[in-house]
Amino acid sequence: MARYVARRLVQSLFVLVIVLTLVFFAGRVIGNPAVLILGPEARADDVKTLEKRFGYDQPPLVQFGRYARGVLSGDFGNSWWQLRPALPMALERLPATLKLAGVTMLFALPLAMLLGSLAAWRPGSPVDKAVNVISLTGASAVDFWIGLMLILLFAVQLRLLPTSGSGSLKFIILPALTLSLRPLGRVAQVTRSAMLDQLSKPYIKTARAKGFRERKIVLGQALKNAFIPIITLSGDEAISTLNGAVVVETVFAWPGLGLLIVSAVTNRDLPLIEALVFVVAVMIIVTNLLVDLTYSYLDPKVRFG
Amino acid sequence: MTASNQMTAGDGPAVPDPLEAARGITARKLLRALWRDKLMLFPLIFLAALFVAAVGADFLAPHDPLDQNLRSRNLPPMSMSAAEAEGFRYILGADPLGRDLLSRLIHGARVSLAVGLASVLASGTLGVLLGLMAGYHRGWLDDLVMRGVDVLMGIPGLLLALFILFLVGTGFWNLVIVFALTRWMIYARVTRGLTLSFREQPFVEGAQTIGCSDSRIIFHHILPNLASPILVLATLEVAIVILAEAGLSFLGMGIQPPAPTWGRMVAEGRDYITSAPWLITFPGLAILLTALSLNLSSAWLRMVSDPVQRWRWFASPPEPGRATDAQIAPVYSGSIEMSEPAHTSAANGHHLLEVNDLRVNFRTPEGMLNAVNGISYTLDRGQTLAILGESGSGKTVSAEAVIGILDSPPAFVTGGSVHFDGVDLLQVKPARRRRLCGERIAMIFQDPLSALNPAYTVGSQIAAMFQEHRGTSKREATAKAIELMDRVRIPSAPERVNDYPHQFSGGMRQRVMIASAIALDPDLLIADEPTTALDVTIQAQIMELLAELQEETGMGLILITHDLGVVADVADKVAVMYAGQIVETGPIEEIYTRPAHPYTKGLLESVPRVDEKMESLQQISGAPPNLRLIPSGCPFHPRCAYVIDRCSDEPPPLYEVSQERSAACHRFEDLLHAN
Amino acid sequence: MPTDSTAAAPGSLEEPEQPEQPLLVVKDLVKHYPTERKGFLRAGRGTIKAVDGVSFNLHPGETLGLVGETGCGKSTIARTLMRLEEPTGGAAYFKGRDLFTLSKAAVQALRREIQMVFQDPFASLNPRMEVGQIIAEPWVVHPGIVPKEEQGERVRALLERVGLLPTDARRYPHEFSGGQRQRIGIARALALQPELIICDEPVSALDVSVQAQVINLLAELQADLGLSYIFIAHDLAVVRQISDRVAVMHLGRIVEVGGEEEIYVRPTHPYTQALLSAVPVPNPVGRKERQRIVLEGELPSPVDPPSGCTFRTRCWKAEAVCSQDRPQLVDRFDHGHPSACHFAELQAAPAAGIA
Repeated sequence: MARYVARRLVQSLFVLVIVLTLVFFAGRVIGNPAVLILGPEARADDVKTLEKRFGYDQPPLVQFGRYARGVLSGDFGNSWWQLRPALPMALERLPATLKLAGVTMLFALPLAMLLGSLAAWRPGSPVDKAVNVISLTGASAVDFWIGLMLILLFAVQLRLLPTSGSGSLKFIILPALTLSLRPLGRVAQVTRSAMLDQLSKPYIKTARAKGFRERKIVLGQALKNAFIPIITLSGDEAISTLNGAVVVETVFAWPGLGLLIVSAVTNRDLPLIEALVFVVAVMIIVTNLLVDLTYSYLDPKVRFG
Repeated sequence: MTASNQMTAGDGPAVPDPLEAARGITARKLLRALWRDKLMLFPLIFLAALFVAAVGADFLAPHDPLDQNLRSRNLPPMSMSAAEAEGFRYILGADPLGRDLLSRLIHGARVSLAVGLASVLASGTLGVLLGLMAGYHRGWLDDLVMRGVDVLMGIPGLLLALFILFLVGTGFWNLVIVFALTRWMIYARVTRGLTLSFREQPFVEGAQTIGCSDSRIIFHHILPNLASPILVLATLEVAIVILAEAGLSFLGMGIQPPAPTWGRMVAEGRDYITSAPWLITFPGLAILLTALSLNLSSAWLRMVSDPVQRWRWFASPPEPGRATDAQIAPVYSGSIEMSEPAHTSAANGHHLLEVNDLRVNFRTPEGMLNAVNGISYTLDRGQTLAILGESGSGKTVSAEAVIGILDSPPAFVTGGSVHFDGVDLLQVKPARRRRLCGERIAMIFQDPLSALNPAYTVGSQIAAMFQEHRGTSKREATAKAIELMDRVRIPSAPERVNDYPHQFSGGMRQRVMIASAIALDPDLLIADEPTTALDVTIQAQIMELLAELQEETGMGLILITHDLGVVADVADKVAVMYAGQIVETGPIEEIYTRPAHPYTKGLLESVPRVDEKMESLQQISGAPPNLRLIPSGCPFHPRCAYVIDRCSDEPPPLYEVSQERSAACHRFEDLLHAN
Repeated sequence: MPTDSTAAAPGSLEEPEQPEQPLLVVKDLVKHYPTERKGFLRAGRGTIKAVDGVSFNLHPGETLGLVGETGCGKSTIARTLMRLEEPTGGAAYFKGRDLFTLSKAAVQALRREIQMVFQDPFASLNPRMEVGQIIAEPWVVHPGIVPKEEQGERVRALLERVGLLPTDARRYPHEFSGGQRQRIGIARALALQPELIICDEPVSALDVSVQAQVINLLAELQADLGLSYIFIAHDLAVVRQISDRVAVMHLGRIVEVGGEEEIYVRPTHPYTQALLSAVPVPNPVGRKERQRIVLEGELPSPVDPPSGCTFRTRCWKAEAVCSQDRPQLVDRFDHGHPSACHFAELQAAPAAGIA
């Protein structure tokens, strides 16, 4: 088990190094940093001057060496837009996004699993049909638009909740609700099909033949096995909330990573983007590690090899 | 790779043919399914309309989408244009620059669909090709592709798209390239998985053995079979790409102005959310409805192409774990004291089990299917009854109906009675029936690996019997579990009690199943093909163990099997089933030496024997019938060597052959004399 | 693996009336699989010895039965002979040419002469192809055998040959029952007019009442076309019915080989004796008196097989020598059937074994 975790950690570090390297070369080779700063209409000699000033005219490997040394000491350079160290800028936005994603998943996951299990227990029933409609709608949710519509309804018309910004608990309700629609739909769908899969397995027949209570069969026997695909997907969905966060944080002016990413892109801020990629990559790695740990705990075949 | 005759034992129609999925979606199948699911017309019509709008936007849009008219700024829906002379009605209103919203919406459809379809075509082609190569050639290519898939799938796609667009700039083709690069992985993963499994399929190996080249195998044998899953996936992906494109557009990273896109229309209307809410309402609805229609279509296509899905969806209100269906079977009538015999025919109480005219139907999307058509038998304590039959004969289904574990839907008991120790199991309340199962009736299954829960230790699965039925403490129950494992001769039981099923061999797993079945000293054990999945030397061990346990406990044993040898070895009585009916029943020796039904006789003469080699085997012509099309009269008559005119229209009753024997054949006397 | 066991080529002693060259000579065939790769940071790799030194001959027109329990390697032999898997070692001479050293192109050409029939009739036919296309595909792959305009006619003839209707050519596999699909598979194998057909469990997935049809069809085709078969099955009764000679396999090796009657009536290897006595006979008369050898314990793992004789862990005759010396497959009683047991014993009938 410890060995398994160690192996995953080493693998993750490896991936992190590759991602950071790719990002660096993508920034320097596909894009030209000087052009990124000055914009596509910049004059050639202006570009030259800038390249010289920031050392972008040096061979890529020399630049990479400098970049790698910086990264190792946590220094991604200064943000071009805010003119202060990029990594702290990214890190200070992290808690807000974690809070938003956390509330979203805490709301969406249990509800989705409940809905999915209910649907699977009685396939074809009205409950099942309702859950299918909910999950399909959730999977089709246009998050930015739904966010705006929620603002229109709850903030503008009913005046129950603030339109945007952050602060008290009230501020998180609408963004979290918006953000939760997609994971809710997708996890409910996967729970339903995983539970249906398990409920049609022969060991369910065994349990029924043994005279176990139906509730025990569904919750005690099937759900434990269905958890494996559900947890895997939940991890993916947790990562995907970052997609939604970009849009939803923009709509609700939520001061998280997503909002910063959009600002960095609109301000053509390469160092900040590199720092953001690093933070996001670490977040993804940690999430995957958590999923792996849960997974290996749940599946005896992984635990005992 | 090696021998296992599980196929033979697959009984009943419960599981649809998995390869049917690969047969895929034909136009006829689609139309038929559409006829059934008329609600699907809505999303399909919506998508068709959208497509027409996108293609014919130039002719269909009432106005030029770029034509600004500052006097019409933010006009609400249905208002007339400000300039009287134009006489123009803004059906959905006008935007902040006075452009006609409806026209912009129609032109926006063009962008959404074009990006969606082009991206899916590009990412799909890339992913499918990579998946095919990786899955077919495996090795380093597979490693490389799958590492790439894993890494890319772990990155939030929208962020990656933002990053690439940030570097290369936006525009239609850049968008398509970005989506191709960020969405190919799912196709690669699905294609690779399917290719790997198809590669192992005998039909692909068959193609290899006749000398097909790799490319012929990939493009002629594997690719066509991937068509329907890829189509389902692609439909879903169009929705995802359209949503992502709208999101990028909303963030200002989509196709640049002035071309109208739905996402940017929402972004532009955002500032007027209070004064002109229609500005965001209509484009948002357009995106939502498009995505929803595509998602619905994908889910529906999946259901149409995948028989397993179809079977699941097709369902009358289910009652899992209950054999009786209140609408068909006689309703439980009031409070009968259950210790009293509930039915007169069992009032004498002589038999441990008395099954009378039991009937089971399957309600399937393709229609009603008669799996068990009125079978009757009795069993006493200490006796072994073998139910002998081929796949689809109804032998397993009838046993599942007895113990009450039919999958309902699709299977429902539609008639008959099952008296166990004087109690009609089909009439008692579910709670009481549940208590009888496990405590007094137990069952073991063909494939012990799948019949054991993979997530629990074998010890806890045996111990659960005591905890559930006797309220024994966990500790004590585990001690009893070890005792039982000893009793079924699992070596070093105390060490192995905490192992999981996958750590045992097939024979040992079946011993675990037996241990949990006999935990509470049942009076009746139903063994459904208990040795079919096992090797012959292990089969001998298990059959010996069962015989010993029966000797010790005096339980009644119902042995369901297709193996005439196993039956001959252990059964006291045999019931031969064909097409859901018992065609012959009686004491084993008499039936084997003087069969009174041509089917029994045919079977006995057609099996090869290990103790003698025959010149050539007698054979029964034809194949067991499709349960949907059971022949009229005697179901065996099309295959029967003794057939006479009468057989095709008059179903033979179970004639009494001797006191303990009966056979459902008009000519049983001829057969008896022939022997 | 000493070569003298192969020099005493099984079959050459008992069939002196067959002077012609064997059609197929398999020598010391070995197929080892690496156990699943454990990957990064995990040491250790084992090998599964699926086939561990197997030699046999097959004469023209003969049927050799390969029989044994799960994991004994019988199907692996078929797959390596068909080059569906690459062997780890050994040679297989088909009409004098070594199948294992042939170039890819030469293998393609050879496929015309060796064909295969698979176990699972439901999965062995492409669900997306019409039966006619399936049967004619070999001619598309090997152009020049049957001209395009004659293919339809030949397909119909083949369908009739295997007991189906000529009109079945336009139908899809799913419209057929298991037995009929197996007939289609046989027709495809016949399309190239091979000399040798390897049948891998061809009837074990079929219903009991249909098995006899397919066995009889195979026997008939052999008589008419002079085919040779390697017939692989776990069902000893089926193997007896169709085989001229039988090789009994245990953990990747042949433990006993000989004429059908030699193996079934006078088995000398304890494993063969145990196998035969474990098969239930469909005759209830006198079953109480029947003696049966019930082996103790489980099949050892092919990853870590026992030293010496691999059967010794379950054998009631095992002595110290069995764990040290691997018994060679040699003819011990001049009955023309070699047996790989130090304590091989002629036995009148399997049922008289030790209880």
